[in-house]
Amino acid sequence: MAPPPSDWDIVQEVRSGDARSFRRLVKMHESQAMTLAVRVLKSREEAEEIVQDAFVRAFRNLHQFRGEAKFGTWLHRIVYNLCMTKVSRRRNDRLHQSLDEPGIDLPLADESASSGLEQLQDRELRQYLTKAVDELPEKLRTVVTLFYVHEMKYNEICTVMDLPEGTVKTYLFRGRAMLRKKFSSSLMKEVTAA
Amino acid sequence: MNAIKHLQDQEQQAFVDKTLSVADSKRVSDHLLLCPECRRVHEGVERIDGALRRQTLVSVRSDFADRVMEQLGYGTTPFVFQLFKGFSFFFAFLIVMTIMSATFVVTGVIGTGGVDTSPTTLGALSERAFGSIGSAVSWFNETLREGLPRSLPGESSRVILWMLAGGSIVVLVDRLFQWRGSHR
Repeated sequence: MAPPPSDWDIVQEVRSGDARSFRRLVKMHESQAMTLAVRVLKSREEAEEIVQDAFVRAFRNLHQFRGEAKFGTWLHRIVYNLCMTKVSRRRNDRLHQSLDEPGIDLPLADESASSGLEQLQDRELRQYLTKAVDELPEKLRTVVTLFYVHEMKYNEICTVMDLPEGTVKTYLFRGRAMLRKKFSSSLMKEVTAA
Repeated sequence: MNAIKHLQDQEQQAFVDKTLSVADSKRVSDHLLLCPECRRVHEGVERIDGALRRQTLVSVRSDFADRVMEQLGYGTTPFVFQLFKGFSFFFAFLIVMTIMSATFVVTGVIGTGGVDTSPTTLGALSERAFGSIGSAVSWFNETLREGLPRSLPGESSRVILWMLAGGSIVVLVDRLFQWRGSHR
């Protein structure tokens, strides 16, 4: 059985005139792109709009994609840039209320794999986490999301956010330290009780 | 006095990330066995790390990719449906005009010889049938009778011509808006 085509293969197909193949790239990357946009913008509606726009821009600028990074990394950079443009517009528009929207839960993977007690603890932890991650400053929140949810490497995060590796590492360290600080008291209680 | 040197935050995180050297990893591991305080911190770091890693991606609408492709002008909708969708305004307009024409034919307003716009037939029949809408229809027919070239055979064909012209304009405007939407 032939292996599934890589992103690069599909990009080449699209470039050679088979524009409809781009749909496969959309299907492969839509969830990841949406997760990043939702985490940065904290608004699903706006995230959807941004991601759709990002895919359209990616398609129209596909000739600029040289394959030095993964297609996903390149796409995430477009999504991130569009998100940051949106965020700066929001800053100018003080009337915008969506920053006050409650955080959007990222579901836990395969909850059935853990025991009932662990699930309960995980759910509680997730609630804390969602709130805590949302409260992190924008850049720390993005780095934490790209590192943990997208499982990106440091160099990929650097490409997406256009930051040096040292800065990314610092942001990740600071983000995790802030999360730890937020959780430390509740976790201490739980661990002591267990 | 034997003071315990606890692990630093960076060391704790690096141990969980498995980025320490073998020697450092062994040193941290040994320390964790002996130091309950650092062990508690380690358990906390591990739990947060684990929960963060178990978060999955946000779900996307099932038709998201189709909408992107539609916006790019490469929709997956069959051509017939696309055609119908593109000309939906025109079809709606056509249906309304057909119903109106059929009503005129049934009520005798439009015959083979053309439109009888005399007040006794058109006005009375249409107003009786539709009330105020009938008055508007009377006005519309009067405008057609006055405004169209006399060389065309019969008023019915003129009505159809008007319908086609109006429908085409609606379709063109609709297409123009869709094109603008996809090239923003």
